[in-house]
Amino acid sequence: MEDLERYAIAVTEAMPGTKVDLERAIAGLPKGAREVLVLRDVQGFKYREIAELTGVTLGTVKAQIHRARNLVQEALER
Amino acid sequence: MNRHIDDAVLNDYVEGLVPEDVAREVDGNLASCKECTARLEALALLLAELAGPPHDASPARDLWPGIQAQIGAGGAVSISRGRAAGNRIFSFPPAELVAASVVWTLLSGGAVWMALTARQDRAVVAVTEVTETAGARAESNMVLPVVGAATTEYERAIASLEFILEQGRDQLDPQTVETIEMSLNTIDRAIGEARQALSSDPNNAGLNRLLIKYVQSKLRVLRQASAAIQI
Repeated sequence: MEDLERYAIAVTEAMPGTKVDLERAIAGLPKGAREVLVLRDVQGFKYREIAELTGVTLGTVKAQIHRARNLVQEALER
Repeated sequence: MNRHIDDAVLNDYVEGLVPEDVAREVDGNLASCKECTARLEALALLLAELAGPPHDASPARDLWPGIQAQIGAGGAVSISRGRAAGNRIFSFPPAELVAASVVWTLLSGGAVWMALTARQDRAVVAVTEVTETAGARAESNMVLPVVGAATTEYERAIASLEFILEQGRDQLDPQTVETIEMSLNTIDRAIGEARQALSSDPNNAGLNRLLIKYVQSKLRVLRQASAAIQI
């Protein structure tokens, strides 16, 4: 799985188009933050569903997603 | 001077998750606080970028259309099924499933694009029609009985595309084939794990949706690969 994650990062870094920075910012997130952000904001899962899938509370999921969004915004601003 | 809007409230506001009284309070703050307005705009822009397709004339060259295809499956399903919120509702640890989903959400479209030339001239029309029907069922009307039917239709389409790929694999560069097979193996493992988890918890709506997304990703990889084969 670590190999795949490295590969995912390499792929996203090599992608053309305007989304490169965003993809790179997502790829650079800590693993847990990346998972919940993608599930919520890219794949459109509901908070409740993410909580069930990841086995953490709804409040924790929301906090993780808010943090992940902040981290992505910070990465994009760099 | 107004207090700045709490980060959690701002996030909920952008997503339309706050009650009306809170929304009015936020509206009042935004009317007078440039900093909060700027935060709101930045957050809304980020969410739009994460969810939206790129304005790109060559969709096969970008992984976002694939991701975009997975968005909008927001049907009204309940995942709890009578259990306490926050508890795991299936015994199979889902961490691998979730991680796999995220990895090849990023990986599968882009990897195959990188391996293939962007030949778009050979559409697999019949298969596309079948899978679009399945996709519409799976995404616009996401209730559990429909999931089985949708995956069955996907599987038929996948079988057709696998046949095309098998027949035409000699036309592809060996490294390309290796990349495609790596993506497909990853997806197949995730599909297998999802099915295993579902055997313990068949009514889990979240797992059913994950399975649909995995199958959709496999279809996407196969479509891209098949489009590069001349038959």
